[in-house]
Amino acid sequence: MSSTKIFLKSSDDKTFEIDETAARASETLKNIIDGGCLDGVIPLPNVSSNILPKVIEYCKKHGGDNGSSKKIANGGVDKDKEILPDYDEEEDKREKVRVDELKKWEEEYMDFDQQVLYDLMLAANYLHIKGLLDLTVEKAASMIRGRTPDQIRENFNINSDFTPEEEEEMILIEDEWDDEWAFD
Amino acid sequence: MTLNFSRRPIFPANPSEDKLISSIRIANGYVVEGIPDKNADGIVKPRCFNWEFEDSYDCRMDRADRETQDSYDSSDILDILPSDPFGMDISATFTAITGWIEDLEADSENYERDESGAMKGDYQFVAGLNFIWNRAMMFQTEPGSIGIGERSNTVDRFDGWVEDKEFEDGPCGGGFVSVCNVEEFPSFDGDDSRAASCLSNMSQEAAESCPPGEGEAEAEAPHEALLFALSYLRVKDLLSAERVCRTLRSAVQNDVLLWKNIHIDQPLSERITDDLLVRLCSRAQGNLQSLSLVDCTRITDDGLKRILETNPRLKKLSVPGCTRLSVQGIVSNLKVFKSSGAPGIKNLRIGGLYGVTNEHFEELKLLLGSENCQQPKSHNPRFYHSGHLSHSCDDDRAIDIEMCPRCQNLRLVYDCPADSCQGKQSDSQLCRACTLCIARCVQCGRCINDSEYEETFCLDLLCSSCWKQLLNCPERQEENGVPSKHTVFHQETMYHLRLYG
Repeated sequence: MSSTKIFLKSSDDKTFEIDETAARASETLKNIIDGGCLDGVIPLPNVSSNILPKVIEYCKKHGGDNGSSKKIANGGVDKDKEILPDYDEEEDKREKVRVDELKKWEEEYMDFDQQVLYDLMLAANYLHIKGLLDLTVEKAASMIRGRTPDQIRENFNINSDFTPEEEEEMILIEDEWDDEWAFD
Repeated sequence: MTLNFSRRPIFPANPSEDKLISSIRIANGYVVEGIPDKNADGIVKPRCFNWEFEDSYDCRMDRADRETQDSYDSSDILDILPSDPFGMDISATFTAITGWIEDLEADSENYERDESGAMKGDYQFVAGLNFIWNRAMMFQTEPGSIGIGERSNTVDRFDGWVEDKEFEDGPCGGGFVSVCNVEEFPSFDGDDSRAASCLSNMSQEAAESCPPGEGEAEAEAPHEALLFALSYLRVKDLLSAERVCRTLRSAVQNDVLLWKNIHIDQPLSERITDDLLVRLCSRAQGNLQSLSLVDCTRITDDGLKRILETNPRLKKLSVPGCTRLSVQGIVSNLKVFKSSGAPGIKNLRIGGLYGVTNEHFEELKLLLGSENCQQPKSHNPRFYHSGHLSHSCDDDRAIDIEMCPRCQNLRLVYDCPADSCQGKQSDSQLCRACTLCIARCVQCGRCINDSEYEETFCLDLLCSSCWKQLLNCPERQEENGVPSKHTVFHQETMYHLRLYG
């Protein structure tokens, strides 16, 4: 563990501390660090002080490895491994425990309201934290997947701004498609 | 209690209150669970949901024509039904309620036939009930019509109906309500509004806390971050998303990147036609690179031709299980495509296509590019799996079918993941063939020539170890997103596997 500390300043001028190794989870920060432009505090004008700690929490957990959350997104178990008979069982067990633990952590981590989700998505995008972006966007996508337009509107509190004619037209198209929407 | 002002003389002999209440409960039970109660007494038989077709109600219908013309004209309630077959929406609630009201009406008219003279009070009673129902429903629909803007068709009709009824019932219903106010129906009013609220996808809270105007102001355009999610969605969900609002629609329809790789499988695959596919592909604005159609049984050679004409950059084409495509059609389409100056298809997946001859195969290899025509000797092993069709474009071979080493037919040829089989080196012993020559477990892909196996309902085969594994760990299924309802029946398990495997 490197003990080099980096300071990040949020949009509302609050300063947060983060280990360099953790900060490297963010491509943007990594480039700044490697670019040698590091003089004291890195200002992050697009990230507010209520989101930044959340981002730092993620980076601390994932400092150095960007692939882990992807594994989790795949259901925690690598499918090929199940098929291939020649893998180390001990290694697999340890991996599984680690993945389970991480999964649990992510579950707790992801327990926040929608506004935070949006802000985290934007922050992850801005800071190029691929794991966090995957995690948050996947959550948003899961709220769309398999839903009807009505349910999506309800989930995200979106208003339909279509004119009645447009809606009429869409219903016609829908009939053309199928009526399977109702079966989901 | 609630009904003791004019109904006393009407229901003298029967335990009318019990009956009434039980019918209410049943109506609610139906609403909540979607299961008609088999133990319902005479009042609420399932027939109440299609009362129109019941002969026994003829006399009622006659009267009804005179008295409540509009409510019977509203047989378009039945039109609403199919749009919502599982009772997930307000219209279903409404149908159930209507059924209940009509039944009650019919029921009380039965009494009326027995005891003429009580007719006026009786009708007033029913009308009064209608009035209360309508009020309850109006309360729910007002916020509902904001949230369910997309279904405005349904909602409009629905509202119209309510207004008609209310207009009609107003004169006589008013008197009723003034005598017997709503609180006196605690069980049915409360229960139902709860059911209605959960079914109409509107929370009761929202309905109560914000009047329509406020609610409208609160709902917003989608957050910009939401657009990130679009690239994580598949075609079917994109099509849902684009019907949410204008912002999402233009984001979905105009983002070429979302449509660069189109993959269509269940449940769209059964419904997609040539025209719709052409329309979807056109959203890539000529940048379509990979098109994968799994089991799209309505796509024809002509449709494929149109796709190729408008998408010159298409490189990967995967059409496993598209049974209306012919191998001749594919060959000639690819020929035209290639001669039109396009770089041409580099990867083709036609597994499951019938009647592929050697000439076709040679021609296809030529069309895919001569440098690829020699299958690399050290190929990646390919294993059989029930989900193989969905990721069949993953490896980089030019064409998926090859000559089966055993039967010499051009089919999908699989390797064996089993240890014992992988050791074998000589060609004659190699566990490598089409699934007709070597039967394989649909789950793990091992050959099951020598071992025990189970045959599933879909005639797929499962080796005994996979079978046991399936029976023993329901958690694993849950992990994969399969509902926890675990079952030991072959067909059910297979069904789950097929859908999610």
